[in-house]
Amino acid sequence: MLTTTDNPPAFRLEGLAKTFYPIIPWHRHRAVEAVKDVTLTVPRGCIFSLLGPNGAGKTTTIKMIARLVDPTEGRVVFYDRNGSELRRRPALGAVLEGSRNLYWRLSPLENLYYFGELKGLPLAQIRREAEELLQMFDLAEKARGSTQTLSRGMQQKVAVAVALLGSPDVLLLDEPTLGLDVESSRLIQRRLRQMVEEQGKTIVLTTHQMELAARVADRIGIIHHGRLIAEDSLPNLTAFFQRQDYELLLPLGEWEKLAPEVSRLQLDADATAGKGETRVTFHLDSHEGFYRLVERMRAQNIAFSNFRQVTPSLEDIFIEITRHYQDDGGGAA
Amino acid sequence: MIRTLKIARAEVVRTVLLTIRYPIEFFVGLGIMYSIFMGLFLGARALVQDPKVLAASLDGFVISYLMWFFVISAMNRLAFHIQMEAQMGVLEQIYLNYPNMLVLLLVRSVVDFFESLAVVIVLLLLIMVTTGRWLAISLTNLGEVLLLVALTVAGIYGFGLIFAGLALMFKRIGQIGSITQFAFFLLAYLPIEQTTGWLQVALYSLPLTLGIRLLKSVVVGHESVFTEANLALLAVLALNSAAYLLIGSLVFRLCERKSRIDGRLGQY
Repeated sequence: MLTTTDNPPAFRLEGLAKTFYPIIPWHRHRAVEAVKDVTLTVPRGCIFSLLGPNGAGKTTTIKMIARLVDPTEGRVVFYDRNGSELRRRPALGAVLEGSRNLYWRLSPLENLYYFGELKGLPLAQIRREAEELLQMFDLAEKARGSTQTLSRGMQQKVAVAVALLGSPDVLLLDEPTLGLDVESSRLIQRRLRQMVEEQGKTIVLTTHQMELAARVADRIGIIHHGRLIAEDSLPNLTAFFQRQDYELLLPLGEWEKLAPEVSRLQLDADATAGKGETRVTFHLDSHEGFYRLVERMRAQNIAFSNFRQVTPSLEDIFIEITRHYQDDGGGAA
Repeated sequence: MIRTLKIARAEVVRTVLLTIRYPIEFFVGLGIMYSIFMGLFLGARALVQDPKVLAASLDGFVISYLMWFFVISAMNRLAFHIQMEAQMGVLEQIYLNYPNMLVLLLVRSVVDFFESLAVVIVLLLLIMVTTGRWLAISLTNLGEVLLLVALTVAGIYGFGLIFAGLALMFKRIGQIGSITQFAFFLLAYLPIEQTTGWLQVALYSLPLTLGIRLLKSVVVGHESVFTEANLALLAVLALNSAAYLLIGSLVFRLCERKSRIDGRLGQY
């Protein structure tokens, strides 16, 4: 994985905010603050995942980056490869409506030609790139059939291929693998990673699928109620939220011997009995608690089959961050 | 300019492909227009017993009807494109690849015009064969006829742009379109040549009326559009259409801006 923090910026969001007002003037009190004061720098050559539940403001943010929605406040600044600010928005590739981003009555090849011409690409370049992209997404055999007859996964791959025409430096993907089968989802993920590593592209993807973000993203931004409440690499987020949680697997009967010791040491533990073993999770305040526990286990001659420190998943981190955010009354993490 | 030509090529290919793939829609549309005409024609024949009077007014009637067909097509098509593309989810993708939607719609207007022209030619032939009345369109005045049709329809495309802008904001505007079509039907049959003074000036400033008046002069009255009197009217027609096209473009831009602010570009 790339060390993205040292990379020059691809673009920067500066105090980006969006409030949607109802079209009827006297309903203005029903305005919705979709995005609130988001400031963020996305480094070049990385996959940046904007993570959040439905309605968090991810899609509105990505549409403001694409200039499909005008921000109420703030701006989006794009940079060239040397880090100089660009005056105009560069060409972007985007898949915002998934497979709906295509003319279904046209074939994948015809879609590629149509959107390639809209982008102003020469026909020879469209021909060459279309061939490469169709190969890349295993669509060569389906290139001339109606897009309507393709599976959802294939349509999604065609939509990504259309977005990649003209080789844009920045690619915006809104829920790119939502509703796809595992195979199609994995292929898209592999291709995205390949594009970042081989061509230095910057990819922003929004998702509410934690496992997707954990698998492909170099950096993760967590957006909640329109506010960016955390932004870092997954290892840093994991390290930040790493707690002294340990998981101990005990053969049956051993927990009964250990429980009085745990009580005596005043340790916080949850025990779950399973098939042939008991799983105990300790929430310790410090390493000291762990050492004392091990000493008591050795003294009592308590057998165990596994003992490991628990690493929080992205889902744990997400829940922790959003919980902290709510407890703090909306302060950024 | 080259970019615009590329877009025109892409639009022609897309229109041809989609027409080929939706043949029923094309032929049903043609059938409906032909049926409406025959209904009107047979109704008129039942009312006007004198064949000489009927024959004298039939040419003008056909011209008005065909121009009305252009109106329906010009007004509805642009808004229909926007509505369908928003519904399909393609609209945002188009904006991402070519943000100048106004230019794209103007290109589409030209493509649509030629598509409508092809339909009108087929419709005209069907009408002429059925009624046995052949309009005086020949190679000598064909250029003038096309010029007048193009200039008249250009103004109507101004209304098309207004409707496209409204479709961008509200998506479903079918009812407004239907009402406007009937208003234009009345305009198409207004006896403008029988009016005088300020009323005539007012009627000339409306879309469609002056174009039809000049077309009747060329096709029915066998006049040239380049006579001194008609040239002045031609200049008024050109200014009139340019004004409607400009107003349409401005309204479209305003609607587009409002849609971006409200986040409605791709919503349906």
